[in-house]
Amino acid sequence: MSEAPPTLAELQALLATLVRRDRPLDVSATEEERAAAHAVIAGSERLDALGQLEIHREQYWLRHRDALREDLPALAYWLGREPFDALVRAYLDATPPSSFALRDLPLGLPAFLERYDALDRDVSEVARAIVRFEVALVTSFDAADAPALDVESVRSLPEDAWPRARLRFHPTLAVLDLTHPVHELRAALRRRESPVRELPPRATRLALWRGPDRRLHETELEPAEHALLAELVRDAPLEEACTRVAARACGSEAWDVARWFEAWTRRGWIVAVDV
Amino acid sequence: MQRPGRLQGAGLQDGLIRPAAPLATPSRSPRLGLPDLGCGVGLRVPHYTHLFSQRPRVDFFEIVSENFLVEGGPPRDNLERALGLAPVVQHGVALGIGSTTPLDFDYLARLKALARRTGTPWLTDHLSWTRAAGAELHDLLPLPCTEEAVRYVAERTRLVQDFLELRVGLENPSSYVTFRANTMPEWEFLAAIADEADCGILLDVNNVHVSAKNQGFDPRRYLDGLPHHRVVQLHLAGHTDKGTHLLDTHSAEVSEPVWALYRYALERVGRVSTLVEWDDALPAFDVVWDEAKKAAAIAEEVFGGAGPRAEPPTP
Repeated sequence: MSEAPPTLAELQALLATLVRRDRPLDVSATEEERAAAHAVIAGSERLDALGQLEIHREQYWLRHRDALREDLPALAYWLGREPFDALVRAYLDATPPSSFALRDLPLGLPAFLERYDALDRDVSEVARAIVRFEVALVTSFDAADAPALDVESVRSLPEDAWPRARLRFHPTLAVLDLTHPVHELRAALRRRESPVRELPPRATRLALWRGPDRRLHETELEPAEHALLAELVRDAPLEEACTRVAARACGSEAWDVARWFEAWTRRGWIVAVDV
Repeated sequence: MQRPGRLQGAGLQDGLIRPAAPLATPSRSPRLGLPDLGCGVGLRVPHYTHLFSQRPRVDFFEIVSENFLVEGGPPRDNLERALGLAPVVQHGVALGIGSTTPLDFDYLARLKALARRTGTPWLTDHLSWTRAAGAELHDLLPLPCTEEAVRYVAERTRLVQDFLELRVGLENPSSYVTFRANTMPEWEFLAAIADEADCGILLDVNNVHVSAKNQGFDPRRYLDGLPHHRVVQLHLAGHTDKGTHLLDTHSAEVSEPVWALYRYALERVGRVSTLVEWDDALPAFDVVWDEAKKAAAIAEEVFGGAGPRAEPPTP
């Protein structure tokens, strides 16, 4: 900072840097920062410059920590208080909030957890699955509405149009491939059942969506059904998606595309078919 | 201090915006010509079940706009239901009118679209900054009370009003920081911005009390020093005594000193829409509504009778 009084932008940059500190300013501010703070903040009889700023620093921390705890209750439970707080501190430091909406705060956490190495490997694996599931809950909760395509409209498409058809899915639909059945942990917490302390790995292929009843639902999918749905959600034409999935599938998997389509349509997942 | 949570009435149901006073013409009318909606409460998720089943006759609701800037789902459904119960006024926490980053016109466009749906007769946010150094702080940070800041904030407020085609009201913040650069008291700062921008003022009576205690000034001088005709809405809320300072927590009943200050404010401002905020440790709806009824009763004592709402005396 120059000798001249700071501009408004310089003042805000200084305060933002200090407010984002992950520890109280009386232990985290450098001598230079203390001097800069005292140069711009007069303080009061009861609080000096850092003491006044500390009010905002503490609120910054509590607001973001509590918002993440509210959106990610299973992650907070699984990690426990101190590891969860440590994760939040590291996340906020590495990924400062960039959206005006607190609702968006957890969206970068799945990617951050991939490179966060302060957790034991077993704990971390489950945590990564939990956060992907809970972030999907956040995004599906208030995603856009879209009218579902009715079954008759699907049936009435000419047969020769199907191979090139691209399916458009409901904006709330999320297709997840998880290492652990973390949805069961979240459900147990919601029911306030006795806490789960262990969650053995189990390949868990989920579809998550908001139903006509406005509630969020999830269902486990068969491997082939999940693979096909994931390809279609990624905008692959139907024939191409089937070919790719068939090439990966082992012979023992049951294929019942007609039944899957009927279920997808009934649940309101398909909103359009582009041919 | 307020954390955005997770989430019409007479003449407003069609969703059209009809500012009572043309924005191009500076108004000397009380409340800048905007309506007095009575005494309302904040719309909060834990109250939905009660509200939508019991349908209490609330004067108006205030929403935190950002909770409804989403594409669909329960937040928008519940907003539609609330619009069927009472007028809805929009109050924001993310405008960042004092931030030195450029105005976010994507955010403003979403705010405007929401305002067209709610029919809010005015739109409020805080006299504060919210983002800097590449981070959204989700806090209402204070500005130094200087001529430079007056000009800067007033110009941005004019731009926002023009873009939104709505009267904007700036809320006095709860203040915890004392800047050496201050060249005027906060009430002169707020008044100068409001006059230069030709905008409204959302006078948070609890914030005046909190700031007065924290900064050591007479809260009545604050209220005396405002351009009263620009006050388009009042806020009431509870706070917490942290020992070294008062914190605006919205977590308790309105305190007795704030009720006394509210009465003093009404005597100067005249009848004006009043909103009780309660966010943390939220009690049952009727507890919050009782606070709004108490505010209405005080207004009746000040202005007398149950007749038509009187206009305040000309300043």
